[in-house]
Amino acid sequence: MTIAAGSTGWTLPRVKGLTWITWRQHRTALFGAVAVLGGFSVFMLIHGLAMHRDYHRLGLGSCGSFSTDACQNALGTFQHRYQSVADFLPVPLAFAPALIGAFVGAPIIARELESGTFRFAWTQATDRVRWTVAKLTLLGAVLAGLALVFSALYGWWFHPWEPILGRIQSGKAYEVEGVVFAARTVFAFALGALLGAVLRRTLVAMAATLAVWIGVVLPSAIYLRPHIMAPEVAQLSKGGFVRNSWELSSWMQNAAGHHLSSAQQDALSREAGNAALNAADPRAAYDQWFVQHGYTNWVKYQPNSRFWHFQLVEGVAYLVLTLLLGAATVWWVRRRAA
Amino acid sequence: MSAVEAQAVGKRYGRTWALRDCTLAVPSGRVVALVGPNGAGKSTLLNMAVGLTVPTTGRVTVLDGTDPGSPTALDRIAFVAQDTPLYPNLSVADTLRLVASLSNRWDEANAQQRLADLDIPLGRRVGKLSGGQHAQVALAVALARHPDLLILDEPVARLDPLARHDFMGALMAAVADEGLSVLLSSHVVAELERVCDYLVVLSRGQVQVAGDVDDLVGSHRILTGPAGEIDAVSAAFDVVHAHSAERQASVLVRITRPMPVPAGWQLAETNLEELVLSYLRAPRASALPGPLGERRAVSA
Repeated sequence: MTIAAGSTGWTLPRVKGLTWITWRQHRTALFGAVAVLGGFSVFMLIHGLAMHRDYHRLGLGSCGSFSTDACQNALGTFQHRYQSVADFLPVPLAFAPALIGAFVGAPIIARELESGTFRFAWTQATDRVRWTVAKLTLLGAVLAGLALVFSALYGWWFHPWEPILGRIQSGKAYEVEGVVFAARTVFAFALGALLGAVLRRTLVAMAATLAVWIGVVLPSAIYLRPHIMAPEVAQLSKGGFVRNSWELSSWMQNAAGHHLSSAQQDALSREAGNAALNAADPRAAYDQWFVQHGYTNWVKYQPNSRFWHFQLVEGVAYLVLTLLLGAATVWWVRRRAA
Repeated sequence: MSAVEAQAVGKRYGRTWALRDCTLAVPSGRVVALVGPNGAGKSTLLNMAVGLTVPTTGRVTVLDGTDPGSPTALDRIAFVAQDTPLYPNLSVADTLRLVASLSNRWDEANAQQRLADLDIPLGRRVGKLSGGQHAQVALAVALARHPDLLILDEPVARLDPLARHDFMGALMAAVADEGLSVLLSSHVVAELERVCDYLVVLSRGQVQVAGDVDDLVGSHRILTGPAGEIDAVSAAFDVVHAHSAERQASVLVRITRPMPVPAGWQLAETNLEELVLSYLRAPRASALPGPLGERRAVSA
């Protein structure tokens, strides 16, 4: 209002006003989001510095595919020291977008309806559609920015593990790195705003947001994500694996190409074990038995190099959902609310 | 010139009608009181006028044919809702800034002056204000928008008598200064007489009485006399409401032409409060101007 409109026209002061209002009304929720991500960030900084230092001290940076014994030993030490954290940390973080989105998004309209302040806010000279659009876009953009910065920090923290574990494994770093984390955060935010408008109760809307978010995110990660690209299939040596990939399934097949059930595999193992019992080198003889009889091991997997392709496909999908939810929220506020 | 017009407006919530076939023209340039018992549909009608509620049937227009909730209507109408909702966690100063940010015609000096006159500290959180101060802040931010029409929904219902008196005083002063139209709903009839010059009585979702306060008061009289003659008197007059205690009967009548006072009866002037209460006690009686309703008065 007091800022001159200048050559950009009359919309500038209005937007300034709504920007200030959005900040003033939702700064506590934003501080909450920053506190949650900030707490994890501080831990990751402290823990990450030590982990990076050890990674270089152990010489793992120049190990390539960890083929030498020295590298295998160093890898064992590194994994023993840090892998439990690397495995655990993504678990709470995978759900952080739902919490942050529900916490910031659900009150936007629900609190106004619940406390009656919509009668004050929506009868001012600026109509409620502009009011809603401003809040959704500004808060959504801030949350997306915060989440992207956090994902970048996680990427730095996780970097030593990439050649070892890969980034594409489901349920691990994939859920926190890249753009999926931010896209899911704004998805939860828009979901919270819409459910808040429809349900008219802040706490109920928050709980419903968490429930719906989990109901969408978990099944899509489990059932849809593996189909983003047709998986690679590779033959493995017995007991081998494709390092730093996302393994979808593995099986043994006979010379005719038929997959074997686990009962059949157990029977073969006993047969091979009996045959290898009296050999000079039982372990080699055991493996050799399978090769001689034409049994081979196979794996179906998504290679680590597809990380960004997967991230972009999934990120865009959540972004489209977010925009649809935002449009539905504006429509609801215009037509139905109050 | 009309501030609010309703044409055959109805509003249904589930299976109950809050308002039904309500036709009404509220003149502009007046201070209009909308009275009626709880549940008469007052809030529903006012919420329609500010675009918060959409009618199920019929149409509401404001400021000579503008749609409620349209940019023009929002810009020119200020609304003080029931219980005067404001954000309790905002300071008074931030509340002013918030409304200013959303307004096109904000008068900062006006708001500051009003609050200074009332000794309301700008730094205090709205949630910490007394009920009277809270309502005054709501009124101050509404008036500083320089509205052409100010709509207030039960603004004093929850205030103590002193705060109620102060609030009405502030409202009257603003009306005198700015000449804006006011539409005010209330079930506290006593406060209205010194503020309002036009009366609308809403009952069971329909308009029962509408007219200039002076005309209404001037065209009604109280007749008092022996209870035994009440039927004879009722036959001769337009009776709004008859009431008898022991041997004395008191009858509010509507006088549209000079009438002889029956022997043994006395004629007295009435006042707004008595008039409103009589009509509310007789929901089937009505007094409507012009073509809206035939001039009829049915004995209850």
